[in-house]
Amino acid sequence: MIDRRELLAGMSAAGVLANFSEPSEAAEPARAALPPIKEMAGVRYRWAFSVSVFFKERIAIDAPFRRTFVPAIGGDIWGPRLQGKVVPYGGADFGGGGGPLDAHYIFQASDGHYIYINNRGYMRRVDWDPITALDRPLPPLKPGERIKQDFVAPPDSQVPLRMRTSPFFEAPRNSPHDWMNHTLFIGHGLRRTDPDRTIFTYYEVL
Amino acid sequence: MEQFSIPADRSPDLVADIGFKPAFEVTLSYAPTHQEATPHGERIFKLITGGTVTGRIEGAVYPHGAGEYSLRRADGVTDVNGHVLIQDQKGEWLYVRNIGFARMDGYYRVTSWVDADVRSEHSWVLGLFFIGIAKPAAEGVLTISYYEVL
Repeated sequence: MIDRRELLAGMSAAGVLANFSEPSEAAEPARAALPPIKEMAGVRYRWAFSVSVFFKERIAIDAPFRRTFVPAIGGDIWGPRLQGKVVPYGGADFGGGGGPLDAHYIFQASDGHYIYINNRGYMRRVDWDPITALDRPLPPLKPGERIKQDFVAPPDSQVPLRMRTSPFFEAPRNSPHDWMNHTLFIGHGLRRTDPDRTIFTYYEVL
Repeated sequence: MEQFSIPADRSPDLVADIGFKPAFEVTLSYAPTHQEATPHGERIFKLITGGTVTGRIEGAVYPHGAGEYSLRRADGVTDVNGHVLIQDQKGEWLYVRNIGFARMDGYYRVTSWVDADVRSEHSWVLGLFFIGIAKPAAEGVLTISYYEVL
């Protein structure tokens, strides 16, 4: 095993521990400005920010592990620890159908910094039976028939959906957003139509 | 330019509730670590030599061929990259993939994806992910408590 003390001493000398002492983190807003810490079953978590992501195109490619392509055409970011916007057409969800969502796109914080998000998670019917994912019959194409690849994602009001995500972020190292580089988050997704969008609520796991 | 912002979306009512429900707990034993400087950072090789699983899944960690290949970054944070094979009490196999952060201040959190046979009693894990809170149990032993996200 690595000697932790030795490593700590090395890190400290290199100045890399500076970002870590959570309470004194320079970029963190005053404690009073943060929402209360919640706790369930021993897990402590806190609302960090919310993001609305707007959509237009929805393409499904019937590869052996069905691939979907849903670009983020724009969006809004608000909340206690991050504000900004989703860069229009800065990326998309490229997830495999039936499998996890796997979105890659870009935020621009209100201070101008760009932040990369890889949002992985699931959006599934509440009563989904995984065995149904094994069979995916496709009718054969008629001669000259074009492959239809558009699909529609229903809003939560029509189909009970459960959407949770585990986003990983990359933010500039020397920015107020560096805390996102070493914090685990949980996202909750809410599907909305008119206009077509998802509202994500992001919690930091403390 | 089109505005992608709807004021009503910012309603405090739309800060959705989530929750956590204990799922299972895995204790992992590791062989001595090897560390190599790579273009990505310090790659830390840790073979998993055994362990136990308790809770909604009961079983043992398979001691041959699973491991962690985590990366210590330039900022001192370790990007956790773990692969674990589990056998339940009936001998059925499950696979657990851990990704997350291990920090110098003791914060060790992972997100985990679990694969099980769709026909098994563990099929409830499919399509979900779990969060894991890891704590050292002894020298070379780590306990990860896994929670389903509600």
